[in-house]
Amino acid sequence: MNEQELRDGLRQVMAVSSQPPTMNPNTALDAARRAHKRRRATWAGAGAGAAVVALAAGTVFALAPSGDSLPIGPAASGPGLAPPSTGAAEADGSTKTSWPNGQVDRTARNGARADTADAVLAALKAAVAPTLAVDEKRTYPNSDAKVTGSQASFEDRAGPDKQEVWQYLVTVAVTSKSAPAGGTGRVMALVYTPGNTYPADVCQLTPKFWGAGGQCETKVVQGKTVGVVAKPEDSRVNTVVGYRYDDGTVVFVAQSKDPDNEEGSPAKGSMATPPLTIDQLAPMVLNPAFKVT
Amino acid sequence: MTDRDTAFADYFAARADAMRRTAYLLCGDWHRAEDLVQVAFTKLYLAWRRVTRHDALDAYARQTLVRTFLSERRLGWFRKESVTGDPADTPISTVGPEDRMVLHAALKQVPPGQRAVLVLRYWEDMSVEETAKTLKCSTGTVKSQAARGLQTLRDLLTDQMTPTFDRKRTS
Repeated sequence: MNEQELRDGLRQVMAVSSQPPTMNPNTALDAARRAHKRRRATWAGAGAGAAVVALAAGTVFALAPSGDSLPIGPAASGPGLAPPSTGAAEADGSTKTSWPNGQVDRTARNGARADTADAVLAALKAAVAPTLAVDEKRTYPNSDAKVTGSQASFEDRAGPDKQEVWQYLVTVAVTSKSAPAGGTGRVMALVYTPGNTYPADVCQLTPKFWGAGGQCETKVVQGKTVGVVAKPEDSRVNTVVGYRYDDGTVVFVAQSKDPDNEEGSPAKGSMATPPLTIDQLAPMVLNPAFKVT
Repeated sequence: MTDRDTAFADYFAARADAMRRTAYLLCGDWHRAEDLVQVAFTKLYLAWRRVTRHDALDAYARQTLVRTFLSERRLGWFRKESVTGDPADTPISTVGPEDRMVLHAALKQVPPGQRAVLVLRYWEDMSVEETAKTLKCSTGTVKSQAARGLQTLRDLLTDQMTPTFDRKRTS
């Protein structure tokens, strides 16, 4: 089967399949309105409880020694942290994917690659520490998955020697130290190891973070030229900075004033402005701890 | 009814069936497809004011649908809801290999990530770049997933055709 045969086949599948009656727009609208009301009620409740949470958090910080934290996120391993499953990739032994190191999918959940992702996460936490507090407990909506976490993903094999290309994505949920109740945002670092296909030009490179697009400008930081997209077209991120080392390692750092990628009304716990200024964010892309293999 | 509600209902009426067909190819049965479309449109409604400022409403809706499908797989929702191995509207096993519904049955066995790439590339006719943006991955990943998905399909179709032919010969 080639691409055209699959294309034709899918259209024939749809032609011979008996489709149910058209969905009712009013039913869909009612469900959407209910979800909208639930969201507003949730945030109203969250606002009412914020004072209690702040008191509890203050107590915890007063009692706990600072600086120590457990690695939390998809790549962390441990008896209480079952890795997310991709379902069919594990159940279906017939697939011909050849993930390295005995993995069942792209993600390395333990071992050296996961440790590297954790190290990048630790470096990112340390980098934001002067101005921002890391929220280790924040979870994605309707999920137990923590926002603050790391992921090591196999990307591809490149070149004649089939060099493994890896991607490390780390995210920290952050709040302002000066205004802890001012919402939660995110700072992210995304690293591609050498062998990736990203362009060398930083202003061709930088808009490619998550395909976010936007107008790029160069900026000289510590004697090196980095790319800066101050207004990406993708609303999930507010700023992206990109840099490519001579050996091909690509590092992006990005930030969002939102705590997750959910689209919604503005009042959902977001920060009023992005967590960092461009002058604070840009040097982070050159953090030597992000240049990993 | 507010302006938003009116615009949303109009857009739903215009696009829901097309999105349901894409969802059907992604998940394999019409009931789940309707659920996916409903969830995707609910997310769209919540983001309506922000999204309608852009011209890419269709792309956003499609992206939301595919990500909803993939995230539900990751969260294990699908496995919890699937109380039987074969959903009610799976094509019957006596269908001959010449029937294109065999392709549909095989497609359902392709891993979800590869399946999403195949559906976006060859059903929605999206470019590699558009597919990469929708799935939030690199173009290289799209190419490799498409190639692997096609190979998986070929293997599955070969496996499915052999016993069917055998059954016909012995009947």
